[in-house]
Amino acid sequence: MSNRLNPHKMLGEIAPTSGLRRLNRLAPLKASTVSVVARVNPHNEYRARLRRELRQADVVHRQTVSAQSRKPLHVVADSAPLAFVIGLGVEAWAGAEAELLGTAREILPESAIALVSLGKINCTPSEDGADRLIEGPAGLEEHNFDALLALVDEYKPQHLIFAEGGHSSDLARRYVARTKAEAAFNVVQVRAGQVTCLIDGGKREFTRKVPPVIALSRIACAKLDAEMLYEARPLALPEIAATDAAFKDAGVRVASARDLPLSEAELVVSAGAGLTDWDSFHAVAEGLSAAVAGSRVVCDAGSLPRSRQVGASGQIIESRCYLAFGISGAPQHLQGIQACRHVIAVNTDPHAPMMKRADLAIVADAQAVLKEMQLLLNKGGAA
Amino acid sequence: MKICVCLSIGQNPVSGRPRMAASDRVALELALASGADVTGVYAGPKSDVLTDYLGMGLKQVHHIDSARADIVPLLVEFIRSGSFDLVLTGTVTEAGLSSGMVPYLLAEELSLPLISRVVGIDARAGLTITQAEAGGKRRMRTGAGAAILVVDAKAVQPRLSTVAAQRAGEVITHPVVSDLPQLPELTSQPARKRSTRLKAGSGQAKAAAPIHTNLSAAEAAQTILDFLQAEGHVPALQSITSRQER
Amino acid sequence: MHASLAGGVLASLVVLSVSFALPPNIWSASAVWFFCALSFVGLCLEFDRRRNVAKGLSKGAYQTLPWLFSAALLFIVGISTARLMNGPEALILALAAATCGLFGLGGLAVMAGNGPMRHIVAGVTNLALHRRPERFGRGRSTGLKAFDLERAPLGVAKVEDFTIAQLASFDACVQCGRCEVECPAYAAGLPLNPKKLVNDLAESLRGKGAVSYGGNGYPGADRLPDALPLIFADGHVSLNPDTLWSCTTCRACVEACPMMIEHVDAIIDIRRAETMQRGLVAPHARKALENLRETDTQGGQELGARFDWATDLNLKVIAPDVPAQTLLWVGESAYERRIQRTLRSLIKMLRRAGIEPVVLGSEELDCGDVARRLGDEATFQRLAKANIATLSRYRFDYIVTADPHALHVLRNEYPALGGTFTVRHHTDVLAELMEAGRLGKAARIETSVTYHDPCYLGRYNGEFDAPRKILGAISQNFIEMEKSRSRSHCCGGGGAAPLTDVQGERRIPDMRMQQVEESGAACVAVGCPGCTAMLEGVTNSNVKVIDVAELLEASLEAAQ
Repeated sequence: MSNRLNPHKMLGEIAPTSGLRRLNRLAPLKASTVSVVARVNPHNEYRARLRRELRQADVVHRQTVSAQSRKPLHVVADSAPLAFVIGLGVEAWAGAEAELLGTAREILPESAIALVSLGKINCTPSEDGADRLIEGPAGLEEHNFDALLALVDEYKPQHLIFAEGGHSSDLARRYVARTKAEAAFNVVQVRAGQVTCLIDGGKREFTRKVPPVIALSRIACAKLDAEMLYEARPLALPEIAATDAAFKDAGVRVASARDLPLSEAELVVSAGAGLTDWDSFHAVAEGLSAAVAGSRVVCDAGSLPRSRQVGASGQIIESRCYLAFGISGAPQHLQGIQACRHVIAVNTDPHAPMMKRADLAIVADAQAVLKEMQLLLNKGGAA
Repeated sequence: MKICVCLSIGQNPVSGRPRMAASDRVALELALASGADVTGVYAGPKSDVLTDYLGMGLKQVHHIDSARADIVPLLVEFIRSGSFDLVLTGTVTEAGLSSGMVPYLLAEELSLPLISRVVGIDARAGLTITQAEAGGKRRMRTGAGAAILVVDAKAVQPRLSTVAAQRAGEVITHPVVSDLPQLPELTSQPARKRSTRLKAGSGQAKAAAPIHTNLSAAEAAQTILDFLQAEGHVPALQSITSRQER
Repeated sequence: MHASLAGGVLASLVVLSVSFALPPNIWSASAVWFFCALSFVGLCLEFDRRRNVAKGLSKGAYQTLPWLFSAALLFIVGISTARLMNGPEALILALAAATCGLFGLGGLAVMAGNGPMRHIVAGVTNLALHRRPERFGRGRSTGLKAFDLERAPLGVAKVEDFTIAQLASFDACVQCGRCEVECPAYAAGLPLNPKKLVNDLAESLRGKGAVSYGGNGYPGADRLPDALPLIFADGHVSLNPDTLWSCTTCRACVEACPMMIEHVDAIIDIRRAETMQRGLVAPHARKALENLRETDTQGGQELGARFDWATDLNLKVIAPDVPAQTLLWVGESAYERRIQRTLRSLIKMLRRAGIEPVVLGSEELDCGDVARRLGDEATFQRLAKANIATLSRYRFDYIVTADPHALHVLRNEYPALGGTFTVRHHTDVLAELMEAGRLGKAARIETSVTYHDPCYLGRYNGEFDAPRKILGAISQNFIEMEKSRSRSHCCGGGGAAPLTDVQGERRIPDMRMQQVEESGAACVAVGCPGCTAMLEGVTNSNVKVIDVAELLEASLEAAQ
């Protein structure tokens, strides 16, 4: 095996923490200048890594652009043990498919990783780490199960890797219940050949050798850095003995922005006091397929129902992105959005606490911006 | 319609006090709200928490006094002996292995179809089950016959357990006679706190969070939409130019 | 007016009856006329009162009362005069008087059945069977009465579940409307009207339409949500649960009621059935109750973390065999940053005076006030019994607390469950220390400051003066609001109202802050963590909200 494939081997047989290997992949030319530390405290290492990566960001960017055409191809023999990474049409979380592939490679460095995609492919298999690719039809959980059984029967993979979340969790457990395969669920940390699982309602954990079936939590996953290309060689889909689902699909209903429960919305558009143009506010929310929310003052005034109130005395939400229009950000309100990944704030006051919290803060009149967004959304997206 | 709800004993995450498992309560609430004849079953050591379940409006909770034995065969036997139309469970237990496998094993042993992420049961005209899908969508499933339903933990807000109902219901204990296979003890440690792993290139995104001033409303709107697209929050609005790979 | 009219009529009727036993004579007639004259005075006043009906006073059947009384008076005068006369004129007069009597006394008698006059009998019954006789002699009885969880029913699920005394009290209502005028929820447009509620309860017992109600309805009655099923739905009158949950238990209605009706007791009794039988409470209230059941705190916090904010203060935890003087009870608010400042000030000043307070540490459970006001008597009694058992293991002179809700529960409601302790409010202790000179010199603060009397300290426990002593000593410009002392306007934080969160036209704390601003004060001093939180939560106000302890500390520091 050349050093390019397993750069960590250059540094001797030190059991690497996952981050250290990342660093090497980011800047393979600089690998030799990195000091070798075994068993680093992951929190210190995280911060140190962040500093290093920020410093090397420029280098990486330039390198990636020029290296695109010169990327080596990772080839794996047909005799290598096969591992399925199960990807479903709707990902368990944004970017799950790519992250599963990357993490699968970490756990099973010797295996051929096959992406089994039942439904839309949500990643770039050749860049994200798929040695093989099997595409199957999207369907209900019961149909996915039939397809999986047929695939396992045909290709007999040694390992199956699922995501914990949504349809994927369900499929993993159906499979284990049927085949009685040994499984590790709620995996929160991985290394080569080992996984750490949570038990006891998340209060305890234990580490074990990798079993045939693994279900990975979001926390355990990270995707590869595109420093090499992968074959993504297509494999044929076998005959699937489809059985009728006992409960037929009677259709999917999409909730409108006003009805979409805040606890399930991935995108939330929120109004503060002073917003008067409710038409454009609701239109923007519909256009973004987001749920509507408001501050306490807005709900007190009756402009939005109390169930739409975000904050300590309203709802605490965990959406991926929160757009705050004209909200100053009282402490109780900020408490409600603590768990939101990204916050966008539009306010005329640059010193409002919400602006500090925001990942994207714009000093402008919220009303006017909403109107402009409505126009852009009507035109069908950014030009 | 007769519904059986499988119950477990949960733990308050702060105080550690035994309590009704949150997702089991949601399953019980769905069952009670459907208007069916609901029975609760629990396999395990004796617990006062069973009275709390009665307090939600259950007339009976069957307690299979099994100490630390594997509960799946015991539940299978109980469900087989009653003629239930639906069996409801929560998503995962708050104590024990917490693998979420119990309903799937029950479905396999009983040869019943299983539907997960259930948020609604409508038995007024035939049987319609509502499932939660990503992004707040809902999928309806119609059918007939018995099934195992795994209820989504956020389906509904469960009702309060009341003193009056606690006194009106009863816990029926079934002592288990034979020697049962005990589940193996696992050596485990307290779980460590972990945060999401650093993603490639995210160091760059975190570095700059400036406040944009002097933007016109139109520019501001465009900036917001660009940000949403870049972070993948609005897949429906994928712009023509493909995302930059960092 | 009531005395002269009613008393006069009664007295003249009695004398008239007695005079029938005697031969007709001018003396007995004069006696009758004397009392009639007395009644006439009252009658004039009653007519005047009914012409310009005061706010809150009922109209309807009550407007006919002066006419009925007039007819009754005419009857009495007529008959007594006719007795002195002879001949056909006497007969005509007697007949005319009898007609008036039929109309007047007959009408009043009918009104005594289901109408406004039934308060005569009911009022007497209410006073005779009153559960709080201490109130008659200007005493105070505000703690909720002991409740036996073993006996059914658990609370009032149908109106017949009330006690006889309570049912009589509802009939005793004369619809004067003073409770309605004083009620902060009514003023804010929440769907609660204490006067209508009492009469609805009376009607619920007697039958639909049986009670002539001439007053105002519930604010916003037409837009009440159907979130929860109606209360007493199968009975004659159904109530929307929001009417019950709007109440902040401030007791302004009870204080104002001339007939000694206990509105708050009735509301809590109905809440008990709602919570312990039907299990129907607002979502935030349900979460708080579940937290209390699972963690013994309202917010689902760790008991051991209650004093985390005070690590640097090195507070001593009370020990079993070591008697202590002052036990500090901090309550749920110790988990909130804002109130921790108040507590720090209090501890600093106690230490300055040479007092070392001890605490219960992780053994302090929630006092149970919120559970009890929500109607969850089972959770309240569990917490109370546990706290009493804990406190009984130690020896201390008194408990001091900055939370009037804890004060009220520990002082007035724990004794019924076996725990009697001396409990003092922190302003009471600080005032005593200040007057004894143990706190040192205090500077006079220039900012204009007013004091907001907490309901649970003022109306509930009669403690108005200690905070004023402190403020009087440290403030150059102390302003007394119009609605102060026992007429203080609630902040809206009691009775678990912030958890039940019923919508009205305005918010109760907003109204109180407006009153503060109208008084001209730049700063409002409070003595309760609930009041602090509610008043600080008012947006668009520049008035500073500060606890008396914090103000005192600032003044002491300024003097150094």
